[in-house]
Amino acid sequence: MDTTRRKEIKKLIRKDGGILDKKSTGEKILFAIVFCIFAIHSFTLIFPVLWMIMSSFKGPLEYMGGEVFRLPETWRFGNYAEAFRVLNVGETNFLGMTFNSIWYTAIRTVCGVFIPAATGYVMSKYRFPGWNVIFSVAIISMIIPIVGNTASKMQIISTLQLMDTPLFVVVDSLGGFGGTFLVFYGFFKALSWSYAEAVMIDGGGHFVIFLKIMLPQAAPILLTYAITGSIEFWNEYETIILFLHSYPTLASGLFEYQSNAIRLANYPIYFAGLIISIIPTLLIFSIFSDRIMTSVSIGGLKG
Amino acid sequence: MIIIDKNKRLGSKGALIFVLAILIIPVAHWLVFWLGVNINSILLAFQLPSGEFSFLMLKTVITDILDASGDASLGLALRNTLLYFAKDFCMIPFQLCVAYFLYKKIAGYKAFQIIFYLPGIVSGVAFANVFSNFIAPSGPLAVLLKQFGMTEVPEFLANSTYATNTIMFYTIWMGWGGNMLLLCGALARIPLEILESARLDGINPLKELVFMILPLIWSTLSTLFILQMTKLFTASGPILLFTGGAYQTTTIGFWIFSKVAYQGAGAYNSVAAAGLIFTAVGAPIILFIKWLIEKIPVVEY
Repeated sequence: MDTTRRKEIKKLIRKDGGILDKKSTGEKILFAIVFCIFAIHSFTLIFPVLWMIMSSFKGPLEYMGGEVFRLPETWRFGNYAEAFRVLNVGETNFLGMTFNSIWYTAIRTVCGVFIPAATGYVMSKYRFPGWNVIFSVAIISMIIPIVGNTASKMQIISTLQLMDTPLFVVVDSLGGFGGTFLVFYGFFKALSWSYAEAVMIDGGGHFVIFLKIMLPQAAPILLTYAITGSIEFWNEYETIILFLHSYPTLASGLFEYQSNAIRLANYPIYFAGLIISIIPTLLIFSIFSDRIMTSVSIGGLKG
Repeated sequence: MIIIDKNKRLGSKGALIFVLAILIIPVAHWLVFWLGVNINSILLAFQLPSGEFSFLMLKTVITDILDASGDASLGLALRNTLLYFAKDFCMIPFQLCVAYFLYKKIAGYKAFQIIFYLPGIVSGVAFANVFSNFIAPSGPLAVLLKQFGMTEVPEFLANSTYATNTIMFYTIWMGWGGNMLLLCGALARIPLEILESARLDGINPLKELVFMILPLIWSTLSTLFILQMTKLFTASGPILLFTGGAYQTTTIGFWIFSKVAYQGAGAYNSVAAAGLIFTAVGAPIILFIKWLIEKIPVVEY
């Protein structure tokens, strides 16, 4: 088929929704089967969450009563207020855990995005003695599967007197290498340097170029990583259990609370606490879902 | 001396200050928390808790690896870890298929995309809790199974026969949307013209996926495979949330966590020794696989 004819056909087909949207009978059957599988799987993911939401409005005896699918006799909205009063871990109450979650997530997210972005920018736009060493080290650190250095890290964190202090969160978040670094490195590498030259002609310095010209162009990636990072850090619990035990967040605190089975006589209130804890991440996701779903890419670990 | 970009222009003093100011923090962080931590870890592996030089920890760990009988033995942890690793590895092609159908805009694809990504948004603590309550002998699943004629519903998580398989099932069930952002991102960047041309030539979905899409997103896919390989000895499920390592569910990751979290400084040496052994075995394998994967050419577009 010659090129002109092919183009004509493409034009005609695009008017009708595009050839990629056209499906043969076999494809239609395949897509119908996959749709059914996806729908069933979606149901199994959503149903337990809905069940938890429903159960969070029940009374403790009603929950234990065995009628697991029955709607609450009385919708106890008070369970949610009660969660703030009852769900305490050590000396930290639910409000305290919420506060800990907020500052922990904020520090981790800001440092976890800005520092790899700055590192990626410098490594992509500047060449200097030792550049090859730093870049190789950044890649090798990602690839070599180090196992079991947590003990050593705990020892060093203790030696630096950072164990169980908020300063640990700041210091631990200052790493500039890793997957996020690679994404920013790739982005800035593809960005034209002529913007910078224009600023330099106008007398602008390197900090001005980075902060006012280059960094804003990476805003979509910065935002995407800030959103996904904040969701991840909000839900983190193992690091907090190990290094920040006196500052339980909602995720680590609710896990610790649940570990103490004696106190779990009132599951509905515990469920209410869990639901409150997931609201911020659901809100963030519902606002930014389009951005999250469309702007992440990674590729090529050369080292 | 700093050379800026491709022009190979000599950098100014300002450029030097800028580069130093930006890189000093991540480099210092790497020196302390990667290099320092790992050197210290190697030293710890050759020491007794008293600080005395010894090979005892390494010997003890090797003995423990060879023994898979105890509930908390490293041998059992290794076996479970390799199971999780194999599962995670197999999940990547499966996740690609899921991403492919979403990319092909299957009916309701936007809703599916959000729902499959839900486990990545909702706290693991919350989801694990719902799941364990849901499958408990008095929970909704048991009620359903009893209605289908099952007289006695087992404790899926408090039973050595089922516990690991149940957690494995949970991670598969939750993992449909894993890597979805990267895979969907890679698929979205494929030029439509290429796929349209192939369609005009009568390509079917399977051939399209294998012969067109796979090479076009190989850069992303190979990165995912390499990153997955790095989890050879650290792959795990949410053991802490479900069983706390009981019922033969322990993995290397959980074994390390429980040692440092619950046994403190006294366990640092055995953890470091185990880490050294697994790193020494894993690193050459992973570097070889990475070298092998990179032999496959990447399509530039």
